[in-house]
Amino acid sequence: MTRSQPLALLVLIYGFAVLWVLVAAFPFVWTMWGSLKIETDFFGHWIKNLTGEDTLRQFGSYFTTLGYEAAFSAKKQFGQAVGNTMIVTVCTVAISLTFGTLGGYALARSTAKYAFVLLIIALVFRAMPHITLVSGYMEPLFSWGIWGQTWVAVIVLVAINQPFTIWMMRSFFMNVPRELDESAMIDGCNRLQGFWHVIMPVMWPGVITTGLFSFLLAYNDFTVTSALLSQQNTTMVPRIAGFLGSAQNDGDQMAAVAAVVTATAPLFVLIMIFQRQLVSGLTAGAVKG
Amino acid sequence: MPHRAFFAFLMPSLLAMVLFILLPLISVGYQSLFSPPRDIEVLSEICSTNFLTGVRSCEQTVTIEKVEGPKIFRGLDFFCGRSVLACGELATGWSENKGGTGEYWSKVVLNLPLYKAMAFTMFYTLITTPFIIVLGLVVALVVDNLWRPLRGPTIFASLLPFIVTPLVGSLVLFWMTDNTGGLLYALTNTLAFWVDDFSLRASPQATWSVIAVYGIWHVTPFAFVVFYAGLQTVSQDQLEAAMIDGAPRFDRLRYVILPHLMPLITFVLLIHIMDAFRVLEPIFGFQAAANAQSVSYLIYEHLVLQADKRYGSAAATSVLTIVMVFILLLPVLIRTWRDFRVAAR
Repeated sequence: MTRSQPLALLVLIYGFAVLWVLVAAFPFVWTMWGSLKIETDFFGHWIKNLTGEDTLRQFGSYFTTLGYEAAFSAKKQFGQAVGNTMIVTVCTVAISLTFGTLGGYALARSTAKYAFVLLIIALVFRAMPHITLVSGYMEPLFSWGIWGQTWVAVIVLVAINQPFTIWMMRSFFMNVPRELDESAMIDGCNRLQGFWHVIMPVMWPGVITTGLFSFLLAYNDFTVTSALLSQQNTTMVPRIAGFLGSAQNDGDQMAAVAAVVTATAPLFVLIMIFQRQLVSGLTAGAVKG
Repeated sequence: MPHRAFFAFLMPSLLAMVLFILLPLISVGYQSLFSPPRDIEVLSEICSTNFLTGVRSCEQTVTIEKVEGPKIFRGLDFFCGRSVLACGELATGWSENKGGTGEYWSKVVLNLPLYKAMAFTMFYTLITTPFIIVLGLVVALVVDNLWRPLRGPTIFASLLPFIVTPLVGSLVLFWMTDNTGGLLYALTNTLAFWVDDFSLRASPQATWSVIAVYGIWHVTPFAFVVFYAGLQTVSQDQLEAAMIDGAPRFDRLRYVILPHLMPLITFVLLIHIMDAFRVLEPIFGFQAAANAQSVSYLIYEHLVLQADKRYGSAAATSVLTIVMVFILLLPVLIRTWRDFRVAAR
């Protein structure tokens, strides 16, 4: 809508936009800025977080990387958690997409009744709070002695991801005309060849969008990773939660602040690069159910 | 698509879902009814005779003996346990209650963990939902009317609260609100000047409100994005027709735009209500466990936080949660099924 608006309405619109942007983004900027201060500045009066007066007095500079050093120290081992997160998310996304692409294609191309029944069941699975599933895993995993291992958490995250992934991939495959499959098969491809050489090349945007959401689910997960991973294999989010309990004891809250900023940074970059895909993905779910 | 090809393509995904969603759901049901035999306390008496005095003395010790064996059917024991439906507590509370029904609710029912968590979930849903829908709509309309080059950066900022890890998001807000020098603390105390020293851990009400504010902040971007996409598909013809008819701005919004967005509003509403059962991270982020516990938090507590894991209670609570979510989901399932039938024809 690019019609001219009365001035009062324009002022209202831009005023609200500025306010909203501040509400949404400012807390993150504030914490990033504060992560480069010492504790008495960040957790002191807010003016001190702006000016960094204690940091200046102690270090002769407005900024210090003390919090980050504490987080990545041998004692806190946040670096290890960063590595674990990379392993868990990369594996989860790769396996989720492979399974989900194949499954989504099958569901998009089948008109059989059982295909719809499966989709409905997947919808029910998708709605279940993750913790209810975790309470199904815990006892068996303990009794089989495989609790705490990275691959277990990866498989569980992949499975939890599947209902969402197949629904989303299906809606992308629905936009690829069936004639494309048929022409490939007439040209002598079998179904798998046709899928790989003809359908997939036009599907990459859908794969990237779905992959982004698989990534976010694995990266942001707290429930599964904190319940199923041992201390040594744990990822960033549960590790941050662990810092909270210990922070008061050793007076080292800045390590938690630095860890929070470290965990946010990749998401900033992600949104910056893939903003369009994220928006289209969020809406795909809305339109298609 | 032939049946064989269909199942060949779907097999990996299907297997993953059967093994790691369906079986766990069955496992939850089983665990809510069966549990391993309880360890028994064995009372043993060790007696000795003092050889100098000739007095015989005995000492009783209690040892805990692990009992091996098949799981035992517990009936509704776990469902009726204090931390779940608390049948016994409800009954005795009712018979001992001298005040009215109101007192029974406030003194007995709402002091029991699951009912308290349900109350929190309902409070959270009722408070946040209208804000999320209205704010999401307003932000969508505002962004839609911004100068085009400014829209991208605005959407970027808007996505942050929704995309960023919930634990991180809640911590970022918590640190600004909790300490007495914090910026949001100062702000709320200036705005709410009539409250002397507003602290979010002072009372359950304060804690509940802060988590609700977090919820609004976290979910509004999602509503905004969905509504914003919906606005792009509003029929321009209809809008122009309304303008030619001289419909004022507000009427155009009410009679053209809102009806068009209605299905999306229902969608956001539904997702949000189901997500209310998932609220977990903010309870840790805001260190709110003393005052606010969600349904998910209760299960998490039984499973992870307790040294002596209470699988039975966790499973029973999970079963109840699954049933509630399923009931909420039922209208959508029926509608989706109908859409399929129409599309298949």
